[in-house]
Amino acid sequence: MPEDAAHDSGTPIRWGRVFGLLLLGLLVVEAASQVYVYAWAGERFRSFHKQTWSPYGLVRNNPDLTLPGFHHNRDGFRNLKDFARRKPSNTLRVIMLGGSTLYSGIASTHVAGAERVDSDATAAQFLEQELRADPALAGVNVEVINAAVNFNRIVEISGGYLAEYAHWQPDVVIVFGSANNFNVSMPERGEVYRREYGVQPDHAWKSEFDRAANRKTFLAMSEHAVLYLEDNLAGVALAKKGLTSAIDDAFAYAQARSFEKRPAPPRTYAGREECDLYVNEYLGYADALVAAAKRNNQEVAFFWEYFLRHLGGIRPFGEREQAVYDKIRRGQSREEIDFNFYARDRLADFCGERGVTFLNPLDVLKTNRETLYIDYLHYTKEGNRAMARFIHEQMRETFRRRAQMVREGARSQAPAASE
Amino acid sequence: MTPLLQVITSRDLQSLALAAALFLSLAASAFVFRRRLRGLLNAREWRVFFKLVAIVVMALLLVFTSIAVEFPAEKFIYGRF
Repeated sequence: MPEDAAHDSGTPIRWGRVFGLLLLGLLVVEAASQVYVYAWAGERFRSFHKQTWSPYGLVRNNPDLTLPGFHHNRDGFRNLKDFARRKPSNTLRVIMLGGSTLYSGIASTHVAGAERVDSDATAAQFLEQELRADPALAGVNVEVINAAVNFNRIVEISGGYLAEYAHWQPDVVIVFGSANNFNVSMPERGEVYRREYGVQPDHAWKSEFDRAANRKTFLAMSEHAVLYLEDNLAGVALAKKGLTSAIDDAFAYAQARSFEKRPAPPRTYAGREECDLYVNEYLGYADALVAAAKRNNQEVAFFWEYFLRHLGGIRPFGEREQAVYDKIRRGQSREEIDFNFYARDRLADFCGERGVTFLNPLDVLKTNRETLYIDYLHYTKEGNRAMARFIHEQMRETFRRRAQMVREGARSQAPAASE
Repeated sequence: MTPLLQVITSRDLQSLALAAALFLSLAASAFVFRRRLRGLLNAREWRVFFKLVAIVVMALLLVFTSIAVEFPAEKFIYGRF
């Protein structure tokens, strides 16, 4: 071997062969990556990016996302079928806006054996089934669009509705996403005044957008090169996924084992006046959405999302839910639960004042003994089905009234078309 | 240690097992056909080959680490952009 090495050191490097082999290696890795993604996701690789940037409401779901269970249609909706932006005649269209609960996401701490909920099993698809089965809606086409985007707050929902979703001409708009505005914890004293709670600070993705779009650095250029490659090569996309996970885990590991650990100071919660200031800010966005919907002759409803850890002693947990609850309940104070329920009641009052529907699924959660929660907040397939049934029951009259308007509209259009 | 922010279901674990099997089979076939591989490039050229691969991987690591420092994963529970 040393003789070989001595012999090798004397010969010039065959760069053509080296780069040719590199190219061949890249092709082999790419082919293996494509096979791997197909086996994992059940479809050809397109993209691992969950979102695409949008000037209205920050982001939209990436229509090309390749992930088991999570499929988006051509407009980024969490539906398998596509919809025409202009509502077809004789159609009752419902659009559902919200965050991860409506999207039907899943967190890292989830019930045993859970898989990602498919795009044919969110609350929107079950509501469409409920409406189609309603005899009072016979003869009317029904479309229920799931326009949820993970991590959407009222800021993004309201902005997205005003700029885009209103123009999809829905008859009914159902707004989810309360949990992203009223977090599992309540504001600490001064946090609202400093504009650091809930919807007040910039969305984390906004700073990502600033980095990707506005920075003109070498790092930004390198990132763009990677972004380009990873949307075209499964090997690069998988490498990025693996490397970023490894880096994040390394940081988390180092933080957990750092020598200088200070105990968290005791939490001092914001007073009622400060909490009200925050709730009013939230309601301002809700007000804008309701006002625009009324102007557009669209019905609105707000749905309240309960955190699993707020339901101890209220909901009869199943075994799998109980296991998750036991893992995440630590550190939950009565004040935080009370704040969350106070915010819910303020939203209910607001809905009453504005004449819009408030959907409070607490009774379902108290009585339904199926495993409705997949993790600390999101629903299982059964949970989505139960919520869709609840929404249909609560809004039955609204849907029927709107269906009647749709029929009358179709009838009045028919003679005009025949003329 | 804070929990992994990546969601891993049993389906993901199966696919990770497949990835490990793919990797092992690649390594095994490289070992079996090592004489042929020596015929493709000499020892010095193989060192250059792996240095180039390492440069690319390290460059990617640098980009991703600098992003991770400025944008910690806790802020992106649904993943970075």
